[in-house]
Amino acid sequence: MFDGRAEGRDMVEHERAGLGHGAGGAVAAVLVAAIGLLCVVLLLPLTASTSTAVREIALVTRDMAFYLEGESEPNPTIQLRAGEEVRFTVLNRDPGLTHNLAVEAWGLETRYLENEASTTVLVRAPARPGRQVYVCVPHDKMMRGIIEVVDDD
Amino acid sequence: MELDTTNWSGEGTFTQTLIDALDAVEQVSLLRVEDASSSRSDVEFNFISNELFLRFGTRDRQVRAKMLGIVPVTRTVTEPVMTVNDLERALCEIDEVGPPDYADAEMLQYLRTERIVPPYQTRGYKLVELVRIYEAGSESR
Repeated sequence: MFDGRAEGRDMVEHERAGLGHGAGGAVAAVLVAAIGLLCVVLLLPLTASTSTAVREIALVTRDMAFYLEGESEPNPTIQLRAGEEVRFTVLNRDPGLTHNLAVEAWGLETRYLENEASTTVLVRAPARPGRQVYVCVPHDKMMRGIIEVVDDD
Repeated sequence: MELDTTNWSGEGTFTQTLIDALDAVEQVSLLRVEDASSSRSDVEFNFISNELFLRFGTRDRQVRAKMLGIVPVTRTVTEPVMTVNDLERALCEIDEVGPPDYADAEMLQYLRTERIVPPYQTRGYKLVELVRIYEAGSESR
C-alpha cells in the first residue's frame, strides 16, 4: 500500500544525508587547502635558498662579434661564479656568416650556426676561479672573449 | 648620382671599389656611405664595416583601374627602376666586385679579407672589410 508520509520521510533523510556528505567534503577541502598552504609556507624558504637555479646567458653573434643580448659591447667579459650552472644560448644574427661558441679549456664546442639559427648548451663553471677564452672557431681572431670564474661568495 | 660620404671615414678599399661601381649604374640616383658602429681593431685584426644606402631612380607608369569598381580611370604609379636583386646582378658582371657573400631582397653583403704584413714584420694582421648595401629607408642590420 502506498504510504505517502513514509515516502516523504525517506526523501527528507536523503536530503539530510546529502547535506551531511557536503559538509564533510567542505571540511576535508578546507583541511587539504590548509595542509597545502602549510607545506608551501614551510618549503618556500628551502626552495629560495637552494642554489640549483640555472643562470641563463644569451649571446648574439652579429658583425663578427659576440654580444650579450641587448648590449652593445663586442666580445664582453662574462663573469661566472665558481660551480655555477649556466645555460648559454647562442643566436646567430650575422647574415651570410656561420658562427659557433667554443671554450677549449672546457672541451666545449657547439655546432656551427647558420643565420638566425640558435643552440643551447648547459655547462657548470669550474669549481676554482680562473679565466678561460671563448671563441667562434672559424673567426677566432675577431670573435674572442674571456669567461671569468670568480669565487662563489 | 648624388654621393654623400660625410659620415664615412674613407676606410675600406673595397668600399671605394663599390662606390665607383655604383656610380656607373645609371639607375642609382643617390648613394650615402657611412661607417658602421661595429668597426673595430685589435693587435691581430682590423675590422672595417661600412654601410651603403642607395636610392634608385623612379619612373611613372600608367595603371588602369576602376573607381568604386565601376568607373574606369587611369592612375599614375611611381616605381623604382631597379630592385636590390637587379643591382646584385648588375654588380656581379663587374669583375672587381663579383657576387655578394649574402643577398636578400633588402640587402647585399660583401666580405673581403686579406692578411697585411707591414715591412719588417713577420706576422702582420688580418684585414676584414664588411660592406652592406641597403636601399635607403631600410633598417641596417
